[in-house]
Amino acid sequence: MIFNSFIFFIFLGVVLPIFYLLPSKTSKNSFLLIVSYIFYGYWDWRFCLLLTFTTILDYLIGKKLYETTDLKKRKVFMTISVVVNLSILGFFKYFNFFAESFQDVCALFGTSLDYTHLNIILPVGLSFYIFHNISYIMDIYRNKIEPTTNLIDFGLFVVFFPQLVAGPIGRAAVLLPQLKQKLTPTKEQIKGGVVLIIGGLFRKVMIGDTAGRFVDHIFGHLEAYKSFEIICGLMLFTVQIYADFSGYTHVARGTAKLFGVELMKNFEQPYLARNIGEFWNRWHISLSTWLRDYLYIPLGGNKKGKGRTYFNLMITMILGGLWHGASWNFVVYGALHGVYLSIHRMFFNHDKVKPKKIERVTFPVILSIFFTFMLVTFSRIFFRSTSWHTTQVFFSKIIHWESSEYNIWFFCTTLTYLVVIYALDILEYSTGRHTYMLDIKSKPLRYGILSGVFLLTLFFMFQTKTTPFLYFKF
Amino acid sequence: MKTIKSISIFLFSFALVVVFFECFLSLGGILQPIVRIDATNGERYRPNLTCSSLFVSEGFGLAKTNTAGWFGHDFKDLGSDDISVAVIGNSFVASRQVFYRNNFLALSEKKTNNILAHKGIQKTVSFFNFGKEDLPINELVYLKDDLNKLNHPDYFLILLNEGTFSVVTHRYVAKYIIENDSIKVDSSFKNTAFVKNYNKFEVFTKSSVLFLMHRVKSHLPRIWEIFFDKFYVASKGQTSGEEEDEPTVTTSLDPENKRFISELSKDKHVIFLLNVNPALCKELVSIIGPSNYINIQPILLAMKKRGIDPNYWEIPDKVGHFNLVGHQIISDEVTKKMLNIVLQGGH
Repeated sequence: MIFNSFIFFIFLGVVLPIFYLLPSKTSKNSFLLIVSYIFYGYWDWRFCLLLTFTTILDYLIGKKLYETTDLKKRKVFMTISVVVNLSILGFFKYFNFFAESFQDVCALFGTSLDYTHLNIILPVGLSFYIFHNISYIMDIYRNKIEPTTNLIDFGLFVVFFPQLVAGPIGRAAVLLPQLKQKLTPTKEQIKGGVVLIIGGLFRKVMIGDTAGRFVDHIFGHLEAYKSFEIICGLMLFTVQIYADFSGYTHVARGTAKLFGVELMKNFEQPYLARNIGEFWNRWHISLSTWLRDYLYIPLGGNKKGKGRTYFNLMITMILGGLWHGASWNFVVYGALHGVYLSIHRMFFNHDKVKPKKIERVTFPVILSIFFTFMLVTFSRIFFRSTSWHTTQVFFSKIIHWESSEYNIWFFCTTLTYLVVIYALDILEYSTGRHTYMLDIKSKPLRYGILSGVFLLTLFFMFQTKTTPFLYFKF
Repeated sequence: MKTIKSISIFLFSFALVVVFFECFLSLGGILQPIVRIDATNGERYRPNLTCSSLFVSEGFGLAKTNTAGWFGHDFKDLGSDDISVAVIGNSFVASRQVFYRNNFLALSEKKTNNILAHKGIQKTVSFFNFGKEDLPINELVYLKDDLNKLNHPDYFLILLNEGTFSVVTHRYVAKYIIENDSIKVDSSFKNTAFVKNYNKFEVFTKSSVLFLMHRVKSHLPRIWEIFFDKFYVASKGQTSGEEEDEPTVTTSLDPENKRFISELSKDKHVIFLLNVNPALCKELVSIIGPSNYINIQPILLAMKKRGIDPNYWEIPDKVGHFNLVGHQIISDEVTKKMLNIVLQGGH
C-alpha cells in the first residue's frame, strides 16, 4: 500500500477511528502491530515472514545482550545480529550484483564462470528496517538504551507502518519510549499531521510525479533528446527525487502524528545548503546520521589524522551510495560525494559544515547555495542513470552539443519546478517548521488553502496511475 | 456577519490555490487544453501553443502548433520545382507522443531531401502535418476539402487506420454526412447549447485547472478500481482498467465509408498510407486502385515479430501510438514512395 493511493486513505479512515476507540496501551499497540503487518503484506504477504524473522531475532538478541555482562559474549551477540541482518540485506539486494561483478572480473582474466542470474525479489523497505534493527542492537551494545521486554512494543518499533518502507530510519531511543506510553495524539499533533499529509501529497503527486514523467521519458531515450533538454531532465530529476522523498517523509510523519507518534525529520531544506557538508546535514538526515554513528565514527571518524579522516569519509559515502542500490552507478555516486566532502573538509573549517541559520541573504550566500546545488545535481547523473551506457550517452550528449528548438520551453518548465520547490523550502526555512501552515492565524484562510491543495491534488491523483515512491526500491 | 466573512476568506484562499495551480500546470507544461472551438469548423487546435503531452498520451511530445493551429511548420506555397505534401489523419499523424523532429513526417522530409540533394536533384519535398486526434472518415474528407480550398498542396498523404472507420460521437465539428445519396456539410454543432456557451466563456476554456477537472469525467468509469485497488473485482463483462479494452476490428467497410473512400480516391493527388488489417486493406485497395498507396502494416507486423513493437511505450508500459522506432520505420516507407514520385514523376 502506498501513501499516494486512495486505498491508503480508506485504510487510514478505517484504522484511525478504531485506534482512537481502543482503551489501553496494549490494545492500541497490538492493533497498530496487526494493521502494520496488513499494510506491509498488501504488497506481498511473503515479505512479512522475513520481517517477523528479523524482528524476533533482534528482540531475543537485544534481551540477551542486555542480560550479559561478559564483554566477549556481548560482542558475539552483537556480531550475530549484525551479520544475520547484513546477510539478509546482502542476499536479497546485492547477491546478483556481486556475483555478476565477480564474473566480470574473472572474464577479464580469461576465466569464464557459468553463473545463472537468480530471480530474487527485493522485499520493499528491506534496507530501511535492517538499518533500523541494527541501530537498536548497536545502541544496546553501546549501553545507550535498554532493550524493551515487550515483544509487541518491539514489533511495533520495527514494523510501525508510517515509517516501515522508506524511513525515516528510526532510533530506538526516540521511538521506544513513545511506544511504552499509551499513544494519545494531542490536538496539535492531529493538526500538524493533517498539514504534513496534505503538504507531502502535494510534493509527491504534483511536483515529484509530474517532474518524474519528464525525467523517465528523457532518461529512457537519451538518444532522442538534445543537450539542453537532457540537462533540464537532470535538473528536473534533482527536483523529483527531493519532492518524492520529502513528500513521502511528510506523509509518514503526518500519519505517525495522527497516532500520537513523533518521527524524526528527514529533510531540512537541503537545496538551501551552502556547502556539501551542510547538504548532508539536511538531506536524508536519518540515513546520514545512521552512517555517521554506526560506520564513520566506529571507523575512527576524524580522530585518527587527516588522511584517515578522508579515507573514512570515502568508505562511508561509498557504502552509503551502495545502500541505495546494487549498481556501480551508486558506488560512483557515493564516491563522488566522498570526494566532495573530503575536499570541503580539506579547505574549510569543520564548524562550517554545521547548519546555521542564514542571517542575511547576500550575493556570496546565493552563490554558495547555487554552487552546492550544482554539485549535487551533477552527482545525480550517476544516481539516475540505469547503466554505464546511459551515463556515457549523457556525457557524450553534453560534449557534442546539439541545440534544441525547444530551449525556451524546457527552460521555463525547469524554472517553474525549481521556483515551486524552492518557495516551499524557503517557507519551511523561514518559519523553522514543516507545518508552517499552522502559523496562519486565520482559520478560514488556512482551511481554504489546505482544502484547495488537497482537493486539486486528489483530482490529479485520480487521473494518473499511482507512482511508487522512488526510495521504495532501496 | 462573521460567518459570511469566514466563508469569503475561505473562498478567497481557495481561489488563490486555484490560481497557483493554474500557473503551475500551464507554466510547468504539465497540462493545458489545446483544443478550441472554431466558429466555422468546430474543434481545432489552438494556434501558437507549446504544450507537453505527458499526461494525455503514452509518450512525451511537445505539441507546438503553428499559426493555423496545426502541428509542425506553417503551410506555404513552394516554388514550382518543390513538392508540398499535406498529411491528414488521426492521432497517428498528429503524433503528440513524440517531438515533431521525431515524427515520421519530419523524418521523411529530412531523408527524402537528403537523398535528392545527394543525387543532385534541385527539388525539395515538404510535408505539412494536418493530423487531428479522433478523425473519422467523414470528418477527414471534410478537412481535406477544407484544406484544399485554403492551401493547394501538390499531394495529400492520407493515413487510414481502423480508427478512421470507427464511430465518434459527441463531437463539435463540421463534417460531411450522406443524405439522399449526396454528400452534405453538417454544421449543426454551431447550434448546440455547449458551443453557444463556449463562446460566452471562452476565456475559461484555456484554464488548465478546469481542464484537469474536466478530465476526471473520462476516469469515472474506473472509479471503484481507482479507490479499491486490489480489493476491486471486475464484474462480468467489465474489464480491469489495467487491461485495455480490445478494440473492435473493422474488417469491412459500410456503404457510407465506401462512398467517402471513393470520393477521396477520385483525387489523383491523394496517396493513401494504410495501416489496416489484411481484409480491410484488400477492400480499400479495390476502391482506391493498385498504385497510389503505401501499406505499412506488413512491415510493422514484421518488426513486432522480431520483438520490436513499434507501438509499445516502455515508460507507461502501454501499447498505443507509434513510438520512436515506429516513426522511423514509417518514414522509410514514405521516403521510398516520395522518391518514387519525384524521380519517376508519378505514383
